[in-house]
Amino acid sequence: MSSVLDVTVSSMMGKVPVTVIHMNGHVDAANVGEVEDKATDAINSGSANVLLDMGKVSFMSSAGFRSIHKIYQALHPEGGSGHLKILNPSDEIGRLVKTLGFNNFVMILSGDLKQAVDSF
Amino acid sequence: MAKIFRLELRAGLDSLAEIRSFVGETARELGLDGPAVEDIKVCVDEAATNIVKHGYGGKEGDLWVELYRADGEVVVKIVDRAPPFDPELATEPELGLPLHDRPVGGMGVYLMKTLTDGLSHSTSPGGGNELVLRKRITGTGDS
Repeated sequence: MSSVLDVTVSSMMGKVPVTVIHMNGHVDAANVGEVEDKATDAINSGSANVLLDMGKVSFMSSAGFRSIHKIYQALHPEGGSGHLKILNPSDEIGRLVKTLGFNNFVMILSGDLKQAVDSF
Repeated sequence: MAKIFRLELRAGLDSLAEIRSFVGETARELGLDGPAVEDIKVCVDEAATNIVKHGYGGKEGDLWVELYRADGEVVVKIVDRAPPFDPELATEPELGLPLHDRPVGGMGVYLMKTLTDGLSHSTSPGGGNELVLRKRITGTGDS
């Protein structure tokens, strides 16, 4: 049995362009590189806003948070918040966001994708 | 003597899903409820990830996980044959720092300490590590 994670990327236009990284499955040390690589590619290609669509992620370990931390740092070299948001995390992942002190820097959204994109 | 549930495998990072599945199902059977089951799955995943990545240098190695119930807690024992590593000595993440200033990493051990009700480490005389995690049963699981 291996960890199954599907990662797809889409570009959506709200008030500003937003790169949406859709994840489906479990995020762990075996597969998190794919999320990080796709986010890094988008940022290197000029994307300034990233939304992690996590409504279909049922598990995430600290490996996932490590990647989110790196993505945050790439998008906010001067600090602050607003360019990286997480949509519809599970209750457990939402709790871990707070436990690890990410919640003041990475906004958690719930609801539909279009609204989330428009929030940037 | 409490029944001991045991999973033995040659573990690599690709084994994490199997380990989580075993731990989740067994912890539920032993009486943990929803959030506590999720917590213990995270903690065992963190322990196994550290063993494979750091203990075995990313290669496969022997790992076994045992769960049993004792004194109102679910006890998880994780045993490996890797060089000694005591998570208690790991550097804590600097959670007081803003995220852009904060060094990346250290979160796995922090989660293991925060999400369990007890963590202890010992080295085996023949080499390897034994990590014991405890999670209190607070739900309505059968006693």
